[in-house]
Amino acid sequence: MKPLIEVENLSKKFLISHLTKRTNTLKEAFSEKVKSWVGLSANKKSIEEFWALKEISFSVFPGDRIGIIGHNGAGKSTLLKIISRILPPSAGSIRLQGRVASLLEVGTGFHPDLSGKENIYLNGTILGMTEREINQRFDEIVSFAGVEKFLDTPVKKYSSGMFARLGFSIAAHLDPDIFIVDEVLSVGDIQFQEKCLKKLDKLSAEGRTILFVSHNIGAVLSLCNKGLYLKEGRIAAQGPIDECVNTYMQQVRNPQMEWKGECGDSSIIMRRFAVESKDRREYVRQGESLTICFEFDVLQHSPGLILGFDIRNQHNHTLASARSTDHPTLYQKLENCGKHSLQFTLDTTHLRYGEYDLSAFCVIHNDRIIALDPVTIHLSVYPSAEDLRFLHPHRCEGIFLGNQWELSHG
Amino acid sequence: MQIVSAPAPSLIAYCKELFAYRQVLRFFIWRDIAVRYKQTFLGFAWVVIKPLLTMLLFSFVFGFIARFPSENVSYPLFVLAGMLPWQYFANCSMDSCVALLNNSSLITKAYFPRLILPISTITAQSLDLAVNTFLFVLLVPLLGNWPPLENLLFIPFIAVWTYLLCLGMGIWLAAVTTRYRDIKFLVTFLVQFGMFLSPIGYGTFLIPGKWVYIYMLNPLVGLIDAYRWVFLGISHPYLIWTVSYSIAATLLLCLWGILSFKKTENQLIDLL
Repeated sequence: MKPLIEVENLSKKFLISHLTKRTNTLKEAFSEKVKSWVGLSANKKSIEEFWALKEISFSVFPGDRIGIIGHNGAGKSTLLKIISRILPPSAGSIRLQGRVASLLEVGTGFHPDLSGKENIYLNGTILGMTEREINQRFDEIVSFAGVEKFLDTPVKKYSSGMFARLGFSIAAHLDPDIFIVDEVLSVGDIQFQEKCLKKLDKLSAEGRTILFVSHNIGAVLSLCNKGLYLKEGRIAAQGPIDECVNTYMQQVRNPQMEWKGECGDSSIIMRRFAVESKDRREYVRQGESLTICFEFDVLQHSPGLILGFDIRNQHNHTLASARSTDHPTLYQKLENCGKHSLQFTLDTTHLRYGEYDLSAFCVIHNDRIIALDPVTIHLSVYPSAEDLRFLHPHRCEGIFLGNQWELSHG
Repeated sequence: MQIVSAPAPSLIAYCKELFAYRQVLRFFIWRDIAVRYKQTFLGFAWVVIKPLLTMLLFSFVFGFIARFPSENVSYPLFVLAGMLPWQYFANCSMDSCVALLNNSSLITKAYFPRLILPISTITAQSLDLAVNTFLFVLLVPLLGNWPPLENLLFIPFIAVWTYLLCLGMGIWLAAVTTRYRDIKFLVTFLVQFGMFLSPIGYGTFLIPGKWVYIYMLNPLVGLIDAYRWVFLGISHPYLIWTVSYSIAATLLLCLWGILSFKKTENQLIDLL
């Protein structure tokens, strides 16, 4: 299969001048010129090169939905701008096959004094639609945006919501081979964001190629099948989206999925508490299984020893817990001296999308609690692939009760 | 297949791309015209009112008070023939200074050949020139003169010439203003001053002898002389010189304008 986009050794350099005053006005330019002729200029050139992108190479194939992730300033937007041809590259090349529509902003080129109708034509043309295509889709665009009544009103009198809806509606009715989207989702209300993401989801279901930049890891994980992790202008990881996000999270959050150390008293010492996931990932998608591991030494026979963990949400409310006594026979074996290793399989189907803390605890004789509170592991639960549930407005961390809903009419 | 790469495209590829984006150009021209007189009470009438008022003022000051000669043509017509290209040139110069600056949000968010912006600005202004020229031709017999009919055949020629002169100037101004915003103020000043440096209230024939060769360095001298010759049949001994020089300057200006625009284009985002 031939790639739609082939990026080869792409680099982008910006110049940052230090000390040197850039001549911003004609007067400065003249006086600097004159000074340099006479050799009086104290304004020595010291220009630092800043490589926003350095030797980036990758290919995008038809049907790929690539999520571009990375810190602020990693070069994500610069990359999209170069692919959209807004910025020229400093070195390297890009081969593009097919029609590219880039949506770096909604309502690009709207003129406040022109009516909604006039702006549909103007904006559609700027985004690359032909006049005939706009004519054909005009009614759809208007009804999708819900601005039928205000077609002849200048857009400066539109509410910001109407403005954004109209802008997105035009973009949504483009028919591109490659769709480039940058942080558009950060504007507008929740309903608007939902509409955008659903449209993107529909496009991706149709097999369109999408390049998507977002800081919303949940959105990236549900929409994209491949990832590109940029770090300081270079590709730090690329490949399946899960691998990329994993690498990203390891470096960004430095999450500790494992606690190791010594904690305890004369009767028991906790050595390791860990959450192990598939592929040793730093996060879990709802529905996957996790293994919670405890490793500890029992130094003296301890009847009544209970081990377990609590799952807490970000407000520190305990949502659920598991303890060794839940098992009918296990507790008898625990109290014996020696090295022990205990596992619990956690089914995350019951955890909603969100952030959780898992804290281990240890109890002997019901009241002697060994302070294991620092033994806490942070767990991020993301929705499973192509699940758009994450964008519902009232999402909250908590127990997922399932979707056994039924609706009957009349 | 599109290829985006570091080396700048050749001039031919540059023009080809411009052609490919002609629909965008068309919509920008339409936008520039549509927006100009929105929310004005008199609307489109301003196209005619502006030069008419200037003509009345000039007729009063130079024709009535100073009694400048106008070669057997009624003085208002004489002034108006000069006002036609001048007004167009002045509007184009001032508009093209902000052609890129006013559209910076567009330039940083969407791709199209940037040259479209100054071109559409200048082209949108041409509507005013066309309307004014049409009304002027009607006015000539009304004020008791008869336009030299065979000269009128040159109208398409001077139309293209005027357009190219302003285009070259406009493209260059659009590029250079992004680097030095001062140009914007300088142009406003030069437009006021230039009205007296160009033969509008008076004729080139008033310039004594050899001084014409210096006077005509202003490319508008040849252009205005050509307008007076085409519409009113006014000629002077140096006409051929002023006209040839002005045409040559027009072509050079166009080339220079496009080349300097092309050079600025790559750094545009940093400059805006």
